[in-house]
Amino acid sequence: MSTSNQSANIVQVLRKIPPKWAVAIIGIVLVYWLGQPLLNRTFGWNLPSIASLIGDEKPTPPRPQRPAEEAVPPKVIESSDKPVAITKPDGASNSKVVEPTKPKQPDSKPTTTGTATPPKTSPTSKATSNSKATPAELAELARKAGVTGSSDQKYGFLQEIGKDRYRSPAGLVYGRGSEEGHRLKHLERHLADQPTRPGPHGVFDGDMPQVLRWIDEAYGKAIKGDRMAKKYSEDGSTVYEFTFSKPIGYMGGSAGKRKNNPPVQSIRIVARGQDLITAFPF
Amino acid sequence: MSQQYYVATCPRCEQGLCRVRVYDSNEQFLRCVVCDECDSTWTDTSLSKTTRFRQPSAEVCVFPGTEIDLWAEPSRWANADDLRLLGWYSKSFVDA
Repeated sequence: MSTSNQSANIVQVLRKIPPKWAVAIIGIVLVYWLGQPLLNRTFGWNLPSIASLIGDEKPTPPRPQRPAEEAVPPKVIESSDKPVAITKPDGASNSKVVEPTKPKQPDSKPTTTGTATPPKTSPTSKATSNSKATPAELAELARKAGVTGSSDQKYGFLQEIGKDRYRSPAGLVYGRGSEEGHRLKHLERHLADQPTRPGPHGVFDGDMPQVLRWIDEAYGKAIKGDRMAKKYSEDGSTVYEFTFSKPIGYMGGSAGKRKNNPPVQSIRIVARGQDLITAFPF
Repeated sequence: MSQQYYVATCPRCEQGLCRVRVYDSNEQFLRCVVCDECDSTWTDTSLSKTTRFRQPSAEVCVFPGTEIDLWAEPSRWANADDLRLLGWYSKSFVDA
């Protein structure tokens, strides 16, 4: 059917009905003509246009709509071959979650009932992220989240990087050496006093995990040039000194005994490159 | 435990004790002075910069001029006889 014939038919129909009805019909058609696109857009309806009703145009097919959850595709990053224990607390899309079936551990503290289980981490989990967070920041995140470290971490803090070699979040390496055979073993000397040892003997007021954190904090700040840190190098080794805001131990040994074991809040770290030689409070 | 001797507090780390370390085998007798805290090593008891020996790495400590491990047997801390033999006994102190 041609357009001119259709128009003629419409005119003929309008002539046959009373004028006031004709005006009402024309008004309704005008309102529909103006409102149809707006209604379709607003409510997602699919009202046919006047033209399609007349037969000049096919109705617009409904636009496929994604469910709300598909509107923004999730960013899945799985570049690590090991499960990741830590996600950034804000749940940012750049956090790695390699175990998608496990829900993210809530950042909640354990209850006091004694029945709460500690945050689960995979035995092979690593504190890592594809963000630009430094290892020290990740360690801090882990600490805040109550993640005390996975079983492949020495003292829940050091990552094994080779046979008898462990790296701290700040990059300090603990390996073999010293009379004790290993730097970690040597550090244990500073967990207890040796009151008969000549001179001072710095004693940490904490256990190994705490001591390692102190050392790492001091080392991390010293290499960044913190104003509370000193650094001097000689013959390939470097001595770092850092003063904490609170005591971290006391002066032991015979010198400490004479002075009634005064508290000390500085730490001295001797390192060769990134390899720790020793560290003690003074 | 036998008595231990030291010659000075370490000028490097200011907490370790510099002790004489010896290697006594049938073939040779080696000695040096080592800080028991920071591994600083000297070839004699003067503990001067000129007699300071730079160890090859953090994991490997040797007697100066050799590849003999400072910490593996038969290396040991010097006793009174060793110190007398070396002429360093008078410069040594005994641990309390």
